[in-house]
Amino acid sequence: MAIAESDPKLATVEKRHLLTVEQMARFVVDGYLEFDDLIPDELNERAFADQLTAVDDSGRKSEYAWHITDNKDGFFDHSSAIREIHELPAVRGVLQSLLGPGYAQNHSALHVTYPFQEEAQLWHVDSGGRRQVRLPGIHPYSFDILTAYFAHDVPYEMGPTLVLPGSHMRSMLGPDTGRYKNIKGQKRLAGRGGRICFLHEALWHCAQTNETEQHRFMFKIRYNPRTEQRATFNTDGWDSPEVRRYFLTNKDTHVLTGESAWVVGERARWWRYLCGADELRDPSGTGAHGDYN
Amino acid sequence: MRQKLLFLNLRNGDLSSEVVAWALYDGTLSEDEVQMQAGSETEPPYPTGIAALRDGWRVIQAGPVPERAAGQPLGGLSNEYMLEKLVD
Repeated sequence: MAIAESDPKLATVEKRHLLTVEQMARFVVDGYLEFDDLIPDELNERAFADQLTAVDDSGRKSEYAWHITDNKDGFFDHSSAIREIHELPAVRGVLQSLLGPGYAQNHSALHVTYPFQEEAQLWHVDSGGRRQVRLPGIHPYSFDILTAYFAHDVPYEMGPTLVLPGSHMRSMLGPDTGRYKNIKGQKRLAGRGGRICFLHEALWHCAQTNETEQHRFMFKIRYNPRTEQRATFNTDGWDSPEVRRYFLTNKDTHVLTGESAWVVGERARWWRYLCGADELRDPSGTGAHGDYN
Repeated sequence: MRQKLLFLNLRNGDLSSEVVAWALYDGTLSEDEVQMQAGSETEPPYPTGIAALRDGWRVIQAGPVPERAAGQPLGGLSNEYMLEKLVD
């Protein structure tokens, strides 16, 4: 089957595995979340061992090279450890919180940067781009999720994926932004083995140079929602003073070129939508009620 | 004569405002040498656009003032200046 649907029996996870409002608010501001403690070491070690078999002296073996029609999940199908990791309740809890139950796996790929690789990727947005430029009929607040899983330790010099926090609020396609090389606030997703990150589809990102003699592996899956992405996480306290203070405190966070007024209004509207809030409480539709901006 | 191109994106349209994004394309480097790569630097080569002018860079293009309209999404970074140095 070209598109692997999540097992509907497994699609509902316990509430304790769902994101909290604090975590979801951070996702709204930053455009990604990262976790170091969701995946047992034993699974990370098995996944890393499988990844090492995917390369040889000539590079990544052809059977694991992603292809849009012929090999959408080559390494995923190969590695039982990778499949088990993405079915862990703790991982599914994050995915269900962001995407809603019944989310679907669109494709996956094992990304490799090679020892002493000197060239980075261009800054880019994966296909689809910002939600406003999606096909007509798709809800403007619909978004896909990209996971980035690192089975092994990825220190800064090994070139973990670079992201630009907050860039998911900008409308860009593909490598539109590749003209720039360095941007204030850019962040390498460095960390210990077992780190898994969840990226909004519109987040600007790129692979980095690798200054070490080791291969750097990153396993990515793109997931699509199959439901409206409203109240899909633990919304307890969504309108609390702490949450309001968080958005107010981060009014200018990641807004590089002065569009704070646009960003905070859009954040407020998106937040109310995500939380399943009664939209009549914001009759102007502007979001500019002092609640979150 | 070879060209070095420096792209600077600033906090706002004032050339004395802070550099927030940058890229250098260096026509003096040979094919074997590596151009500036994404993620290679954490600090810009100049703190402001004016500082680049003081160091001899010439602005050859400035991005237009962004046009805003209700309902339009926020696009790319807004305050781009393209600068050059010519090298013998």
